[in-house]
Amino acid sequence: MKESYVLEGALVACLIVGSNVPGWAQQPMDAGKLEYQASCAACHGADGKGAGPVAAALTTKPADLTTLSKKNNGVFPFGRIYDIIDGRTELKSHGTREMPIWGFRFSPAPIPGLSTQAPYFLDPLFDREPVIRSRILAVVDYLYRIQEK
Amino acid sequence: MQLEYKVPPASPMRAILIALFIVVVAVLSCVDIAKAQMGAVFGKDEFINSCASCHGVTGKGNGPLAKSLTHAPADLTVIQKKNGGVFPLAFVYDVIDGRIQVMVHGSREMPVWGERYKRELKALTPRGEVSDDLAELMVRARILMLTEYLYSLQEK
Repeated sequence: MKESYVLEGALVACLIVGSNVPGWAQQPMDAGKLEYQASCAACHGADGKGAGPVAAALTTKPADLTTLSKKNNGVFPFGRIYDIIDGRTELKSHGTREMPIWGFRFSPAPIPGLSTQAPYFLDPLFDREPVIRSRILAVVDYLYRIQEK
Repeated sequence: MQLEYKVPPASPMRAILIALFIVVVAVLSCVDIAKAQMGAVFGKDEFINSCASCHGVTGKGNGPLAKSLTHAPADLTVIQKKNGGVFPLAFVYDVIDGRIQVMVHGSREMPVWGERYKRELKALTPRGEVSDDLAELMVRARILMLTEYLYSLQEK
């Protein structure tokens, strides 16, 4: 038992050191922006204005995500945005919670239809729920930052 | 339970050879089965993750989002049939990846999965722990697994 703790500790230490060394050398990337670009920009556009390359293929025009605060009397609707990404508030053009258009990158709930390996395949090595929550928060934070004044 | 039974006497050499043969066959078939199952599972997971919301779980084009699209998503089970009985592997790969297609045609109706998978990976390792080459390798593996799964969906 003791030995396995030592091994685990060593492994974690290696991971931390290994992952931080390049980090000192360069600026950290904007995780929220990268997530946005990967999962939202195809429809909502790189600038969030709703004119992504796939928008023309949709029957409903994607929303302008830069005016969320404006349309909510100047208050950023944090909870609503989180719930829409998380899937507990369903929008027709976002698919269903069981099958969201962006895949399972923002699904903290168990995923119906996927094999047990799938979560690790989609997010190798990580405990799924905290990763998903911080990922959603990163996107919400990015959206907050692109609001028009 | 009674598991003992009579075996005809055989030379020890022959017995050892037979035992070896059985072990080798058993190991090989286990490896094969494991390999086949892994490929199928990963490909199917990727399909459900990336394709099923539009193309449907069965690939027939009837996902929950199909009605929100101006053009019906393609039936992915007849790709081979429509290509004279030959599965157009490179074509399917390029359509999923999308990066070459976009360079040639500009925008398209499907997300550019090659670019998307790459960004996902970068977001997962925001300090640049994964080199561009390794990221590209992993992106291609995901697309290949998808292509392999699509091949398994083809109607005869």
